[in-house]
Amino acid sequence: MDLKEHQGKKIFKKYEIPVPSGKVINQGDDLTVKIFEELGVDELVLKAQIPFGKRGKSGGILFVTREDFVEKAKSLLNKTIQGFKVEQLWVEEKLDIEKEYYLSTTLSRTDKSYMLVFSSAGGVDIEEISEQHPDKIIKIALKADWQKQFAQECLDQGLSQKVVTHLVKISEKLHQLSRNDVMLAEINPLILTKQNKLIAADSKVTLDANALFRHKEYQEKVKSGDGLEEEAKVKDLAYVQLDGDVGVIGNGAGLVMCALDTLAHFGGQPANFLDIGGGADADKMTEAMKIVLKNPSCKALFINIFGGITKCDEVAKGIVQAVKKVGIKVPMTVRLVGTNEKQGQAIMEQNNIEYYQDMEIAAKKAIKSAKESK
Amino acid sequence: MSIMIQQETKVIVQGITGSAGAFHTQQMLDYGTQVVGGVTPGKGGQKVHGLSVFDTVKEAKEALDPDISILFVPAPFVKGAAVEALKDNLHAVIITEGVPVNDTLEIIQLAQEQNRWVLGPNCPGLIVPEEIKIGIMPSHIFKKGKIGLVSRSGTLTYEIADHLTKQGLGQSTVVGIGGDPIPGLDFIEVLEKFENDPETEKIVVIGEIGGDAEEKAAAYIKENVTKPVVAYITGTTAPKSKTMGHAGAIVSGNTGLAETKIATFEEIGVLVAALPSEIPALLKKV
Repeated sequence: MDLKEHQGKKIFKKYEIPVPSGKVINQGDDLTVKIFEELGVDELVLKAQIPFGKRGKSGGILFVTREDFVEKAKSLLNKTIQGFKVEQLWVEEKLDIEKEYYLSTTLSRTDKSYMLVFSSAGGVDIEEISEQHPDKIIKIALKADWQKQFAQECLDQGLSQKVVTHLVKISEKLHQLSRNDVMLAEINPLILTKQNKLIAADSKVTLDANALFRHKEYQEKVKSGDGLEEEAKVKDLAYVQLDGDVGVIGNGAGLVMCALDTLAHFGGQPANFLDIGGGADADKMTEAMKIVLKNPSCKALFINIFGGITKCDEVAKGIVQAVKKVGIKVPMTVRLVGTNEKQGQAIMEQNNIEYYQDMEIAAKKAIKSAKESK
Repeated sequence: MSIMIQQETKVIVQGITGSAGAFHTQQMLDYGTQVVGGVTPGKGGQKVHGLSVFDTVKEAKEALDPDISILFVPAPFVKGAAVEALKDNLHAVIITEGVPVNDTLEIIQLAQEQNRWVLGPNCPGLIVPEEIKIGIMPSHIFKKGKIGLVSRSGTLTYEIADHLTKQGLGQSTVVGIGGDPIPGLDFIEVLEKFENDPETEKIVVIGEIGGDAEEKAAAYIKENVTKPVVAYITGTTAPKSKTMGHAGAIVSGNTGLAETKIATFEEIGVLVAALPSEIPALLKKV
């Protein structure tokens, strides 16, 4: 779960990572120039609080003085950037920039630990840095005694001893906060000011969504921009919107992805990815069908189940329930095998719903149905 | 022989009183697995399918001397439960999905210190066909044989095992390492065991998008595995930057692409199937 910039900065502050002084302004708040006195500065930066992205390039960051603050804040609060309505601004002091660095801690699958990433060429995306200055990236697994190695590599890149000492301290803090269920903590840019101080000018903090039970303050939902994905999430279903016309439902991420690949292999186009997860009951199956059918591009439904912890009889009950109560207006192809398959298949037969035992045969049937129903 | 477990292996079930725990305990017993008891804090003294339930792993260990614990514990309690199992020198199979990564990291570190292995989280477990199952897979699709199978996905493992069995290719051991970004045992550790297992003649690796576990497995196979390997990678049609159900299945930037994984395997001479149904034919070829 991605936090907003100001939420991330609040966490940085708690861990004693220097951040610019600033304030949140919500839509509807009084806009007055008093904020300059409150923050004790003459120049401010307005930053739209929308999910991460290339905010600067799309006009989400504006520099203001007392003269144009109200006007610019108003216009930014009415803007839609990359599909997201701006409802909140983070207003902070403008920094005197000497240099921009990149610093983050992230999960390293390779090392099975956290990893520190630093570059003296900050301010642009890490992907861009990797392409343009691969030699300027330092990556270190955060295992015992990483500080010495990190400091040495920074000195080798020409950073001063004073800056390096401060950098190591900030990195230690980032590591500490990572261990509190933060999958990514990125400071880009980390500013070296003309006064020779390091300050986190931006924050990208991704919390482990699986750990929200111990971070209740962040349980408020972030809008992802896609209605069906959000709706599915609430129902504990994993849904991803795609471009095609065959709606797909399956159990288990790997098998659902495989169903998409199989459709594509035979010339079909999946309309979505939907994983009902392990051990779904009849109601969950019905909910899954409702969501997939809400997508107007879905011209045929392909249900592909190989039950393990999921029981075929529950899935069959869910399908029957959806047929009876929701009504299914597109052709449906069901493949149903695995745990309790005899019971599940019996339910399908009692309700005169056809089913298949082989995924590839069923996939071809679903593609044909989608073409015919257009 | 088999890898990691054998017919004599004694198993306890943590979370045995929950619905999934109880259901799969029965399924494992039916398969012939020596499930000897269970643990649910606060429910010590109860019985499930005639098996004794204990409050702690320590008590179960003293009474039953098990080798492995399988966990059907809600995600927030997995760390505590796994720590108990590992401290009492049991290996752990974690079925639960949704375990925080920080918890998994701590569990893995403790496992290393205790010299035990952890399979999962978010995995289907493992099975030695016709001998023992410690997991949730539908038993009837597996058949004893010479193919070692290791996979990041549960249900896709069933799909592929089913094709193998129907084509007369039985399995020595089938291991699901799970779909989380950080798994306990990974491809390499399981590949090493298959390479050393005299009962395994050929190996199937089932991978998916996200991370670089397949690329690392390919590098390991090139240097260390003499047995023929066939691979299948899913997620070719997955869009970038979207988590595809499994927490670990996400293409970030250019890392984790199915195309790259497929190319990496093909470069070292591992045949990669385009469909699950092609795997048996490829196995017969290598």
